Amino acid sequence: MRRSVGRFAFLLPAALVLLAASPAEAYIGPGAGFAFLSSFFVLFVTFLLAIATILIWPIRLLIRLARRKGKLAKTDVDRVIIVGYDGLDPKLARRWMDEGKLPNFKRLAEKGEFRPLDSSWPSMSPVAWSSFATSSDASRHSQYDFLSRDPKTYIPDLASVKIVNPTRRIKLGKYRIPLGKPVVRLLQRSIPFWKILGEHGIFSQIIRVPITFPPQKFNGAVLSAMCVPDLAGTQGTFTFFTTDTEGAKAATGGVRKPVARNGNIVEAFVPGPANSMTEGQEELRVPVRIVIDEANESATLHLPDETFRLRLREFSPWKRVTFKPGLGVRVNGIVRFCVLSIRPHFELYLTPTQIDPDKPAMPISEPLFYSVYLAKLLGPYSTLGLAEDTWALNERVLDEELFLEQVWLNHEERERMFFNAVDQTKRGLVACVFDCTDRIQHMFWRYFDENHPANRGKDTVRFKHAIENLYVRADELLGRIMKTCDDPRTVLMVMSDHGFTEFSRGINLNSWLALNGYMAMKNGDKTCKDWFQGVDWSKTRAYSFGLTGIYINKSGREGQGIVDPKEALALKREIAAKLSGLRDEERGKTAVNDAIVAEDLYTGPYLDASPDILPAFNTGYRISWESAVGKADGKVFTDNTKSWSGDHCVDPRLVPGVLFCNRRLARKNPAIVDIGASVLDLFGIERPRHMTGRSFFRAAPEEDSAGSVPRGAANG
Amino acid sequence: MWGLVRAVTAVFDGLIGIFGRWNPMVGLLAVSILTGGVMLVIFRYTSNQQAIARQKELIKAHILEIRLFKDDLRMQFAAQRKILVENLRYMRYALAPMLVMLVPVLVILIQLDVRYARRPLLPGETTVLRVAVEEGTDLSSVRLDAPEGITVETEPMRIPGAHEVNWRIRAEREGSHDLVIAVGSERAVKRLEAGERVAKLSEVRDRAGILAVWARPAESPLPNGSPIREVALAYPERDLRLFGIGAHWLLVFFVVSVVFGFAIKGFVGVEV
Repeated sequence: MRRSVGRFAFLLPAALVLLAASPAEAYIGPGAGFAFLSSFFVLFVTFLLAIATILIWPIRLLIRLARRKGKLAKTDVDRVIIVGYDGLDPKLARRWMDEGKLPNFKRLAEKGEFRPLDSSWPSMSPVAWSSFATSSDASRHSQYDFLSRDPKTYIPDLASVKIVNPTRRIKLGKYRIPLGKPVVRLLQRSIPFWKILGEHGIFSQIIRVPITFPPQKFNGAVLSAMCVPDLAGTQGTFTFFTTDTEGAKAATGGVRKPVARNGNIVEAFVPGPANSMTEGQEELRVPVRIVIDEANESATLHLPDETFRLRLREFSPWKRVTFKPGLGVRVNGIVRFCVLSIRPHFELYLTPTQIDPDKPAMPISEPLFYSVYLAKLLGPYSTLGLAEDTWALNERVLDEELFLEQVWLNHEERERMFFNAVDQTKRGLVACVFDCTDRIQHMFWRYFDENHPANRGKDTVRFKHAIENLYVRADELLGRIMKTCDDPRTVLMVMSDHGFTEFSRGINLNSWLALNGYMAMKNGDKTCKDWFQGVDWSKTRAYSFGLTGIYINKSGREGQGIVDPKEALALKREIAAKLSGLRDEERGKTAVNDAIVAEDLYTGPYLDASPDILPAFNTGYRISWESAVGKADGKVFTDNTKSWSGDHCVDPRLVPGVLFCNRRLARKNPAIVDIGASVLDLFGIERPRHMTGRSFFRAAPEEDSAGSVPRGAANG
Repeated sequence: MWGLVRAVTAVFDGLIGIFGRWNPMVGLLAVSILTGGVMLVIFRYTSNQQAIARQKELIKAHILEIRLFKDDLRMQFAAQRKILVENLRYMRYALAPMLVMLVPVLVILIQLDVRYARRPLLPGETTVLRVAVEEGTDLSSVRLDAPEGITVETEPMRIPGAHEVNWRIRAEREGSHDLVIAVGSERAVKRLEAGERVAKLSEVRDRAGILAVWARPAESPLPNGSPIREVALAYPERDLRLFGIGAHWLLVFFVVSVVFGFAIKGFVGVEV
């Protein structure tokens, strides 16, 4: 019966068409018109593009040949694939390879090579990845830390990016219309090796390699990563709504907002950027109405353009939100929601509101449309530099389970981008960095040691194998990658920028400087607040902030400098000598293995931007959270009780990265600075003289320096 | 079924009647705009909106791919191939709403066709009335009674081979005129419209079946068993013009309904 009804339903319109068959009625109406008109338009455009492609191709070829810099030597390589696992540790990799848990890493090592990879000095991601990109040490690319400071004001700033907002504005009613756009400038110096490849006609896709924001023009495509801000302009600020007024306290890396619950309704909002078009620059917001369904442990969220249901402790897909500063201007962002609790208190977590890659508020890729292309092809994806919300876990807003879920959601997006790029590349370079390895090791290292101070009051069992599982999962991904790269003309490198170690004790360098008479506070105090509030600069000879080291308060350089430049070197050596071998008497351990004066490490043109003294911390020690923000609290050593319990900002010799390659290396001690030079070599391009790195596919025994300062810091 | 056809026709009579005093194009534009909006809403609820949006995004992505790999001929042609494949998939998603809309749109088209494809006779214009009868019917028994306002200009012309009788008739006055055709005791009426207004015109009245009545909405079908098989007359084609610009009604309908649909799709939130 149902079948005959179905047949009738089909026959009825068919019969009508036949019965009413005149030229006029042959047309089937606007419904089809809607769909087919678009299709025909697309077909027409495609046809035109095909014709244009064929006609323009010879001209483009000639232009390309004319622009190409120098000839390529003949090589046996068509394609280089670089898989960056941020922070993958060689000791852990070796251990689990030996236990048979990482069969693909083992297979790759047996086929080619597995070696520790000398990191940069300091062994921090922005520094190491800059050394990777430019094949240069820090004094040549000018990246020493996440933060740099304005020596005139001692005010910190991002080390890699300078954003200058337009100062001239037109007043129009309540609006202040800026004349011009903000200028975003990359402060990393030197030249990335993929730019040199591009100049020789070799196309690259560079995906999420840190310190590529703002993206620079070159013959290829780059999607920026570390240091891409959220829409509010921060490095990632989560929002936590709670009906518990006790829980709505201040948070680092996020904002806690109290909300009222009326019956089952909670009114919240998605925070956006400050409205730069108005005098007050108030925060732009998109309202969210939440209807709680207690019985089903879920909530329905109503955004202006969308309504969706979320189960308890479930991350929403990326949701697009549009902020309207006025005068028809729109700023687009994406955000994920997660209902953390329904009773006794309603709690909602929002990721930082990120730049929508489909409609980017500022360029996050080169060409600009590359991020748009990826969003259209693969769907929306996280764009924030540090998209895994480590602060939300540190602040215990997210727990370990949800943090891991967030990490893997982001990771899956990058996997899709990576495989898409690999599929497209028959000749050229694909480099992609996966951050999951770094973030999970930072946050789960405490599970390795039951006595880690970060374990106090926290679970120590449930996620005991999180890092091991991470390595197993990295291995599984590597297995899939190896399948796509299984040809003799493809070189596959798997590398990390540094390894990992424990972070159980923080060292407050500002407290140490104050206690040793190098730093002075107003009113004779021994402490100062964040960002040096209370420091008496007229009596301060050295200070510290960030995660790298100590700066001399040098006259002529610092705004209130007092140390004569002629005496600065002697002072550096004096402080370095005192700091070297610093012991943590409470633990009975040496905390600082060595303290190195910048001039002994670097010879490049940007030496002056370096911290003057770089301590090489022992395993377990790092600059404390307080010291990093310019605070002195009177104590040199403190327990690190945050979930962020593993780190790599120690003596770089203790935390080398890894290098796996499907080809044999000619050298025993590869360094991260060598990778760019080696890729150029693989494609038959001579290494430019400004690079400190050397190809590890060519023997150079005189360069062996095992056990010395890593070549990421020294002069090639 | 005829009752339903009459009800639908009455709705169109009412709708187009609102614009009866103006240029015929005005009524056509109004119906086209209304149809565009209604069809857009139908499209929204009968199509897989998410899938259509996704297909459109993929097509755009592959267009961007052409820009991205501007120096790579292989990638360019690969992207063009993908555009074609995704376009076919996109068209597949348009099939379901198209089938759903086929029926109402055909009804609308027929209703518009009977009003805008041809125009009534003007006073003084002539046409041929053709009456076809069943085989074996005595053609001499076929008579025509013309009402006041219609002049029968010729004697009946009987064509035995075709079982037809033809008259040339002339409209003298504006209005709806019922021509009465008699075969023995059987009678049938054929309406003739004269004047300048928009009216539903029926060129053929026959024994339309249950579905065919939808295609002949201006007049009821002839009863089964009648010796009269078909009564037909011809109207001149309508020359539609607005501000001196002429266009076939179908083209006007197509362009206006689709353009209006595209114009408001953003406001209605429909992926097309």
